[in-house]
Amino acid sequence: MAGYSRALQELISALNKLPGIGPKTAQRLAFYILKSSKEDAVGLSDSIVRARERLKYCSVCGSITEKDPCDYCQSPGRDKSVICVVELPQDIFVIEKTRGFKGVYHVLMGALSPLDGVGPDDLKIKQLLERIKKGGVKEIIVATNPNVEGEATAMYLSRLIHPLNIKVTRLAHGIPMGGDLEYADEVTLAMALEGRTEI
Amino acid sequence: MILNLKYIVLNNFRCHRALKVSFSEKVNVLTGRNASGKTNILEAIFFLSTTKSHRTSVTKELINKDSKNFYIKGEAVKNGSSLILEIGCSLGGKKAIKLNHQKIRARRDIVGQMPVVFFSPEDLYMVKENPSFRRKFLDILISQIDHRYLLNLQKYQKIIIERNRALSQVRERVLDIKMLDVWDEQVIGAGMEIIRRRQDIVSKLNRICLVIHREMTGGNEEISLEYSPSAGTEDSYRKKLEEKKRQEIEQGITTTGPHRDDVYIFFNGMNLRQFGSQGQQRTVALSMKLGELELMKEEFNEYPIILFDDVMSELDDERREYFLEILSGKRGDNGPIQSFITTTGLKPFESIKNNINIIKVEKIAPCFNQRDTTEHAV
Repeated sequence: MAGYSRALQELISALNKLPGIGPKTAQRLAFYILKSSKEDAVGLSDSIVRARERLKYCSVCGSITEKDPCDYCQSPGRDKSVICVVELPQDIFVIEKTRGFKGVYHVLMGALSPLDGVGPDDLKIKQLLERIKKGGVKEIIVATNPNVEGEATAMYLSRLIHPLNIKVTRLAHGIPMGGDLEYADEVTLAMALEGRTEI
Repeated sequence: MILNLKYIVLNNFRCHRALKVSFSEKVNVLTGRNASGKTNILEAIFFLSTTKSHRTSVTKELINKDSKNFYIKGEAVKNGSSLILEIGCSLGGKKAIKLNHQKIRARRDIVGQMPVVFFSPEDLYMVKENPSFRRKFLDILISQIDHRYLLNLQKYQKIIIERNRALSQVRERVLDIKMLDVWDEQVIGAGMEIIRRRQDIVSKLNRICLVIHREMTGGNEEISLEYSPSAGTEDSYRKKLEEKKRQEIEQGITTTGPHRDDVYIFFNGMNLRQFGSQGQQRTVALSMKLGELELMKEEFNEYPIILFDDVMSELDDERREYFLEILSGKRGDNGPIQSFITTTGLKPFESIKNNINIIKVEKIAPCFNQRDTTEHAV
């Protein structure tokens, strides 16, 4: 990219490092930022700095928070006896949107994958066991992704936690709500048939 | 006919730089000199249907030597509505697939849309060569019938890759040996589902092929097919993995499971691979493919599209007639089946000459596919 000034070049390559942003998009974003007002541009840069400085991982559950421990862990309204285990902090937001879960969380920071060199020690599993050992936990809901790595992680956790006489559950596989059966993909539908429940 | 392919467009696919061929809904006979690209047209139809080539597992080999990508499009009519399939592939090897102009994310959304059975000279490998050819035969057949099988197969392959890496990590003492249990259970779950589905299909095939082969050999030969599974139950699977664990850790590969299974083929009670003559093996391969055809008919209630590469010349008169009767709808209760047959001469089709659509693949200059033979091309 000869011809660009050094500052522009730096901005483009910084944006290019973000996931899902290729060189073309990085260039478009950079020119957009330059075109926008100075306040907007500075505001963007400030919010990045602020977020980076203020936000940290909760020392108990691993969620992203400004306070440590986080709101989920501190709130008296939440049931500490049910822990929902997720792969990544962003999974918490998705589950929170359901408004149907009133327990607490635990973020593993990934899933078991020998291929990517992720073993049990690379995940926050030890921390989960410590939480359980402190007592009061009745149920662990494993909400890892329904793929090969997520399933293996779920099984590993269930084997680890079952001997402690704690209920371990797994999210059900099923068809999306509000859709027509006609449009459900047949593999999901087959899983839903298998996991059918009595009414 | 409920399913028929109307035309196919090929851009830079093997020797075809730009080609559009229209088909009839009955028997299409592709004639032309050697190396004029007849087989490549069948290969493209097969590719549209299964997203795989019958000849190579390296998709980029299908790209014309002077180009960086290929594109195939086909339009079929299925139960009265139009079905447009498009696949493009670049040298990077990534496939882009569209179904009715919509990009699709998974192979399983396209496989089975336009079922095919491909008769080719390579079928002989299925009876002569190593078990991988027989597994491939089953996998292509079952995937077209059952999407869940294909999904499970892809999942199984992924699990095996993860488990193999885990085995190596145990050997290097990076991973605790107990961690293997988790992967073993994943392997067993997906593996048993594959084994059960294959067993089910092989027993159906066995029933069908027995009758077909009797008919083809005038009652002189009996064949039977038997799936030889690595394990019959979850428990025996677990036991087997346990027994092999030490050796597998050493090698870093999973040596038991459906990816190592075989289909035994017996004729008159003897092992065909060891005791069959070349001619017998050829006939059995043909019976198995006909079995595949009939099985698909049972599953879909109609015949799939039939691709027939240069097999006519290998058949004796009687068997050729048997085939042509099936294709032209004179045998059984169905009408003519849409089929695509390559041939160098039209003589074998004398008996059904009024019922065939002849396509001359001669306008195109002779071509050579292998990149390293370019210099010799005229």
